Amino acid sequence: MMKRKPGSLMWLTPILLALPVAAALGFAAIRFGAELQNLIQVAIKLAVTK
Amino acid sequence: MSKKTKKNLPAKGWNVPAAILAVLLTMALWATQLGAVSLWAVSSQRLHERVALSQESIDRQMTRIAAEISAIGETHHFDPSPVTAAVTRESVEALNRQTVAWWTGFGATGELQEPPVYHTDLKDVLVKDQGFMQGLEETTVNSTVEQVEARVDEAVRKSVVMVRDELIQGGLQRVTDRVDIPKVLEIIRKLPGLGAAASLLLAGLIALMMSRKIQLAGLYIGGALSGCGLLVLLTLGLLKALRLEASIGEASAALQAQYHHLARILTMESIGLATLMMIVGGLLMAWAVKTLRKYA
Repeated sequence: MMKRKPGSLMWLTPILLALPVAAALGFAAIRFGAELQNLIQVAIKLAVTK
Repeated sequence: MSKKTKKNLPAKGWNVPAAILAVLLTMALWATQLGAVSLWAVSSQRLHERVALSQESIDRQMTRIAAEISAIGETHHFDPSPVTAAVTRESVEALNRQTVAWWTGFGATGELQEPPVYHTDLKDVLVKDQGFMQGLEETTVNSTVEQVEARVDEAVRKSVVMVRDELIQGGLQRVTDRVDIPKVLEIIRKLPGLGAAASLLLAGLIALMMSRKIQLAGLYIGGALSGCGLLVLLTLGLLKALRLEASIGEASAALQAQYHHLARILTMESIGLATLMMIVGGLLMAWAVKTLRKYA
């Protein structure tokens, strides 16, 4: 088995640090994405002149 | 690992709080960048003028105005071409500039002024139109010309100020009555600066914790900068998935052109900042990894 160079996994640091926010954003997108899209559509239709 | 190097390493217990601070630093950097770009998008008069006066936006407004004038022409039996020509591109651009000044003025002072109006003089054009004059009595010419002028002025104004009057008069007025807008705006303007200060403080704390082996601080801070870049790209992707442009396009083609231009500028700025952060973060991490390998 090839020996891993020390520090070669350190490039995962940004992904690990971004993970909590990314997970929250992903959850919000899955859970509320469709509702938010509809809400925005209705708000735009109400606000903009025909 | 030599004894000397081991002695220089920070105690193992510091890694966990430093990692937690690095997660907080990533969040602070992300929120600061999004806040700064949003604030710029809302308050910059130059940016709004660039968007409002873009060729495509004015083209769509002119197309809409021409269609409205044709409809008015059918009711009042006049040839729409000379009337459409009387509404010049320069006058529509000037109304766009006034609208941007009105909107950004509201953002700067919190005082809601009357939205800009448009006025065109069509009497000379209309009295030469035989179709229009046919069936009109001498006494009703002036009032009918005024009616047509009012309808054309309204069509031009609605093509430029695309928000419903009820929302401006009712909604915004109610907000300004109940909320101290200048105070709220002052706080909002300070938020990116506060975010940047919090980020500096967190980075300083990480550096302090890792002062016995500053390369590890480079790894955490570099990781946070790159992580923030990744989060900004993810946020842009999610915003794109909301398909705002299509929703706006269903309501108004002219507003869609403005949104398209604005979104392109903001996306390019955000991608530029995110790339810069990833490059700086990557360089910091590369330096950290390279020097840490020396001790391995």
